[in-house]
Amino acid sequence: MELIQALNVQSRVVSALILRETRSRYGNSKLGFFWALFEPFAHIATFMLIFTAMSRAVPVGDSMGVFILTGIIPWLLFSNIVTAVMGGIEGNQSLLGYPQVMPIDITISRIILEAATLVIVFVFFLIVFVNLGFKIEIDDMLSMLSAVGVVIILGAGVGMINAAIKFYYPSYANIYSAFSRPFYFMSGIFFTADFLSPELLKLIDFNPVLHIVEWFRSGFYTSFNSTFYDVGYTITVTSVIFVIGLMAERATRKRARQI
Amino acid sequence: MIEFRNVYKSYKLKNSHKIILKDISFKFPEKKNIGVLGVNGAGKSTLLRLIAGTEFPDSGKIIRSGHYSWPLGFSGSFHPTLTGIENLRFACRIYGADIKEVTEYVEAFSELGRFIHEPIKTYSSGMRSRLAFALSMAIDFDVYLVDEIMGVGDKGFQDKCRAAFKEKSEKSSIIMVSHDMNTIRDYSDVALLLTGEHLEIHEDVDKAIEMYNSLTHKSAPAAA
Repeated sequence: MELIQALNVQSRVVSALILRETRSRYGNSKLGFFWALFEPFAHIATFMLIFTAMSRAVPVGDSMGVFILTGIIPWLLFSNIVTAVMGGIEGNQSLLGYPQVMPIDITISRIILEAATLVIVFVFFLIVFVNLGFKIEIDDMLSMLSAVGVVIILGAGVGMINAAIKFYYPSYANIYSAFSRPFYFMSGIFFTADFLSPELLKLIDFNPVLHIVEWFRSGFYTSFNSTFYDVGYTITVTSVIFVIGLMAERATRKRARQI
Repeated sequence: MIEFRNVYKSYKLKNSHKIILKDISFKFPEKKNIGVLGVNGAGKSTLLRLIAGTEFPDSGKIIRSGHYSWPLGFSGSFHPTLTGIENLRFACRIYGADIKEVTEYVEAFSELGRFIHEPIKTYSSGMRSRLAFALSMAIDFDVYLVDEIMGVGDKGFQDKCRAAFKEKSEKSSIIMVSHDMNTIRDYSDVALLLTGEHLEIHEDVDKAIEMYNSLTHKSAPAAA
């Protein structure tokens, strides 16, 4: 009974927070949703330009744009959720003045908003590509959704760990952003794992985002089935990071509420 | 009903530890308006936040039943970049109150006029407390937790607050912190004296104020 009541309050809080976050991101200026579309567009356009100049063939499928899109969406899911969770308390500190608003509610609402945004952006770009005359056939929807689910949990875990560290060492945000940058180039956004030499692949195959991108693309393309990605490994790493994230959140929860 | 069981609360300062409550077991008197007295830094606001549940004790338990307001104070729970109306809607959603009804009530009570559509960061502290008051009055609580903001605004607004509380006094009570002894006398049935680590309840508010005055005089030279 008490649990049902608590869940009821929490769902009210989370939905109120989602509305508030949506409003502050997309409501007050027309630029908000434009930016959500522009970010992946900028990545796609840059790589298309570079690869056209290098006259490199499309690794999979018949469109370079679609190929980059299927890499950039899982990547942005990861990195945007990390950033959103990291800055969650900062952006909502005053709302913790309500007893029923807990730091975890802010985290949950931000994850939902980021994930929903990127799923909509993905569908939007697919529609654009179809209208441009590209044939899009989704091979295995369940596989894609699983990869998306895992990357969301991974991003949430890393974000919560970061938020806890940042709580004690505010300058950590800069360190993380420098540290995470190379991962952009190690996550298979503009290449597939089999494109790399075995030696090189060995160096970066610990990166769970690379596994997730390959997983996502294998689900998307009929003509592509990666033998690289390891579902067991990816889920194990993700679970460990997520549990550590939850513990870090728990450890800092009390202090985070002190205003 | 609110009860503290072996509650311990302290703050870590840069070079020391400030103890607010030390192993306090205490049952707050029910259905009585309580004025909380204590010298600066004794932890009155912290006590209010512990009661509200916006802060947690270091150890011990706080048992609470009934509907408690958030601490109505200057620091507030309003988001600075959202407008008054947006903050109002947020509060309605988390408390499950009817947005339309609350909006109408707050617009009439708060006297904010067009400012209700402006971001909170543009508000004066008086305007913030008017909004906090109006909003908390529109949502029914069993206990209102008031941190210092009683006695703001002009006399007309103060009278309105008094009338609103009076109307609610059958069902609701107040736990308030104030530096203004007239406000404490005005509203409180009993006084709670916070003497650094301990809580004392006094049925006689005037006597408690006297004790509080002697405490402040004692601590005044040290503060200077």
